[in-house]
Amino acid sequence: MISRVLVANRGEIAVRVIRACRTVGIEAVLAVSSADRDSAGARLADDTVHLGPAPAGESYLRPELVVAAALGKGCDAIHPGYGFLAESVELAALCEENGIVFVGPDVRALGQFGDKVTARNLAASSGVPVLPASEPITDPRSAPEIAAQIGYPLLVKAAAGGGGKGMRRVSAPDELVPALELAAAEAKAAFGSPVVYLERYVASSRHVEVQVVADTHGSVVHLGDRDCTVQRRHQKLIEEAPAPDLPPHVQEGLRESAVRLCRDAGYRSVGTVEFLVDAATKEYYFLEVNPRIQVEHGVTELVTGIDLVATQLKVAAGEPLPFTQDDVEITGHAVECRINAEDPALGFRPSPGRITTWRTPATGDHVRIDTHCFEGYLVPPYYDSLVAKVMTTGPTRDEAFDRMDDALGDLAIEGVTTTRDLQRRLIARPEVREMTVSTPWLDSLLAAAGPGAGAERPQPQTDPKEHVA
Amino acid sequence: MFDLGEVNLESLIAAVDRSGLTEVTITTADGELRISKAAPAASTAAPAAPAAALPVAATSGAGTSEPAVTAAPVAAVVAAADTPEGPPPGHAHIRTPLLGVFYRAPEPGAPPFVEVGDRVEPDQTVAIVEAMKVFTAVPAGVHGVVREVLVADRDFVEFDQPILVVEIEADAG
Repeated sequence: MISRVLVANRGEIAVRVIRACRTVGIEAVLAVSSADRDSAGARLADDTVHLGPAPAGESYLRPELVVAAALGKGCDAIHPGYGFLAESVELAALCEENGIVFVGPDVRALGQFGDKVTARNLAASSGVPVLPASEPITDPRSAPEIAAQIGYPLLVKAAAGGGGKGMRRVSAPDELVPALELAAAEAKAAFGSPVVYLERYVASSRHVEVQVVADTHGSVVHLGDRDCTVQRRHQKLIEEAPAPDLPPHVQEGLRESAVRLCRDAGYRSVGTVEFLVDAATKEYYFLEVNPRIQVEHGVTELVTGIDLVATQLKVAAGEPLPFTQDDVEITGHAVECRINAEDPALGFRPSPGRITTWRTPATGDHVRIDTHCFEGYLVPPYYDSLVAKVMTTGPTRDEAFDRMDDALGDLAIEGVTTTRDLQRRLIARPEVREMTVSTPWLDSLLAAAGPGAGAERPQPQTDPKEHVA
Repeated sequence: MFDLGEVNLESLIAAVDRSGLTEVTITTADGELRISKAAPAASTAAPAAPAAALPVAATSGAGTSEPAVTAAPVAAVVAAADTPEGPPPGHAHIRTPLLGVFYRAPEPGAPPFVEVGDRVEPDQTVAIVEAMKVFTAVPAGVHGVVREVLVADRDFVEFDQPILVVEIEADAG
């Protein structure tokens, strides 16, 4: 039983979680930094608590302040959103010690899936396909031999990694040792741990992930898959559900693998199992588990009709899942474009500032917008640059994409520079429309187009096959 | 009558800079003087006057040309209209440097750090705030006389919440 949740996040996900709390009849107290006291989430919440100064390191990233805020405000649960402390073992442990429900998996699962090597071994022991990889490299002198067994090209990856940090591609033996050193230094800086390992690199691959939700009564259900292949520097830009153009046996294999892994690991809450799919062979391999609600959860909600955040709150309160696998039906197609306050013409430099114009397309049956922004809102410089998630649906993938073009056309944001125009061009690209993209595709496209690529105005969108780079 | 024109701004700023305070607000009949070290909390009082030394953003934003934020290396002073939450003229709020549980005394049963009527020095501890068993001393930050204690012992306080009202005295040293 949960009656009052501390929402320990900001931006659009804070708004999303507060709305879900209303849906299930729970009070929401929003923890805010000095920069967010006047935010949309703060207005929407039943109460707010001033957590600390604007920099996240002095507010949103401090587990002890978050728990003290929950205790002080009489909250019996903490929802961490995504990012910040969403996967913090420390926060989950503090919650446990203080009798507060952490709306997420338990400490053990967070620890297991937070370490990529442990997660990989768990996946392998559940019979989920994994790429050939090494254990952590403790002695660089042993690396060449291990690398030869795995085969080139390969990746050096951080065990504590994520988001592409601490990751290096190695195409030949002479690059191995320098790459190990660089990756270890990067991993140490980003995650506090220099532990790295080696993994086979698949040159042309897609990013496909499976949404899972599990309760504390042993029920584990998948809600289908998503494709998030269009990425810039490992940051997803376009996501869709279900993942298109996969042979039925691959799609089934992915979904069953994800459920099996979560069941074997005793996972509870919502979570995402990420896979790499070889674009040529369509074979799939386990990448990692994201033990949290994800940015792109909305596209899954749109094709299943299931409120993932509300479900997450219910299972955190100990309720059984209100549906079985057989009840889950995937209908139509949904796509999401992330709109960031960044300037693609300037190397995607963040563009904080006052929003002077904010006009969004009409939302309804086929368009959903998750945002915390409004006209007059000051996008603060302290946090990530996501200002809106535009989602559209259709009975077919093409229709969902056509509606996205309309929706982005009706989206007007002034005062800050955004990725809207770039997104509009991307969703018209034949590679995207025909799903021939791979994860390095966008980076190559942007590199080829030159540094000013993002500054172009959108081309006429009448023919999706038209070349608009 | 306390007159803003008579305030030695430099010594006030220096005092705030030395102290653990993030902000001092002095209200007079003419208006309000605010000295702030951190980003302004909900800047309802000073919409047109960015007040703060902005800490560098961890991920982004540093050095961008956003017009509404200006970086200032030291404490900045803002004169602004009265705010409903501001202290009385000639007085300053001592605010909590962090969120947690407010303690008036160093230990249960001990006399409080300060009582109403006590004179305080900038370095003097006036309260303790505890978050998850970590205790943080709150210095007065100003010369003055305690006129009001705004929070009860063991109450939960948020970041930057006013806890004491101090009548400001001229800097003696």
